[in-house]
Amino acid sequence: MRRVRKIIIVLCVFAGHIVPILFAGCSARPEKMIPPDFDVSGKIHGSVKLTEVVGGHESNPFPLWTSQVGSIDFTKALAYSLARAGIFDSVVRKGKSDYILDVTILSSDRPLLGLEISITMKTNWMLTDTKTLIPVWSETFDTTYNAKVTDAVLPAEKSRFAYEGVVRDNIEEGIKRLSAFANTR
Amino acid sequence: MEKNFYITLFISVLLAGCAGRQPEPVSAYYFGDENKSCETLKKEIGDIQKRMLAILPKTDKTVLNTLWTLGGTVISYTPTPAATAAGFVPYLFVDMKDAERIEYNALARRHNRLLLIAQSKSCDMNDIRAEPIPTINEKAAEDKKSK
Repeated sequence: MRRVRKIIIVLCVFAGHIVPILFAGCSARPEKMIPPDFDVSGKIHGSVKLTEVVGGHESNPFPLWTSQVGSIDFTKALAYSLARAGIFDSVVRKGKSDYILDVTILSSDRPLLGLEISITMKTNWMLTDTKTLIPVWSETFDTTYNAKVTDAVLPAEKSRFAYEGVVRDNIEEGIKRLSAFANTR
Repeated sequence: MEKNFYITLFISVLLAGCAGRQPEPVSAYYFGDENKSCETLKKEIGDIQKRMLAILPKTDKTVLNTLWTLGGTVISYTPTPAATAAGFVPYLFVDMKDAERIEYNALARRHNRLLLIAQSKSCDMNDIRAEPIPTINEKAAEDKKSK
């Protein structure tokens, strides 16, 4: 009985203190969230103001269970991606613009320990015409990214890899849909 | 008795970091916003400001989460088996969902959008605070700059 108890205590200490350390300190990097290519067939004339993405989790110092996607990181990656994709004439963060783009993270999984980590992120993208202040386009969609066994060794790294991947795919999909909307105008 | 204790403990470990509720962010726009009268807009903007003031103190969970985690660590390293095991219970109270912070930022975005609609209608906003409200991150960045 004493032996069983010892084993349970060791397991609990491992679960409580070692596992968080394996997951710790790895917030996703915005530069890794930028898609390498963009599928842009249509363009929207005018400037766009990007509001801060709502729904991201900022990094907490404790207990650091998993990597997280912060609103600032997502916004930075999105601003850079929009500018690079060239779907609008210009992208601004403050001041006047022809359109306002609001992105909301509606849900994102928290991955569990595993050889492969899969994360699904659901977002809503809404484009508002600043002349009428009425949204001209709004879509809700989700993207899934699988971080494979070979992508990273530590769970922390793999989790970060998965978060960066899911945001990258989400931005790519959003820009593709925006571009498709531009074609219908 | 002991078996039940360990079962409870196992469940605690599985549920660690599960405290808090799911965030319910409001949308920046709701159908018909542009048709609202100045009075309705003013009332809604005022209500949002009150809600934001109420949420604001709960948006930063860092101190509380740190205390729960430290508590769990201290208890679990106490050299008795029961204390070591019970040390995981505080982890249950760690809130990683950021519901209040997300909802605050969403409210700020809606507030600012309603303000734009009110301005486009040239509504008289003298009796309420009619300035855009920054998100928590934007406010932190502004504070950092001013220092």
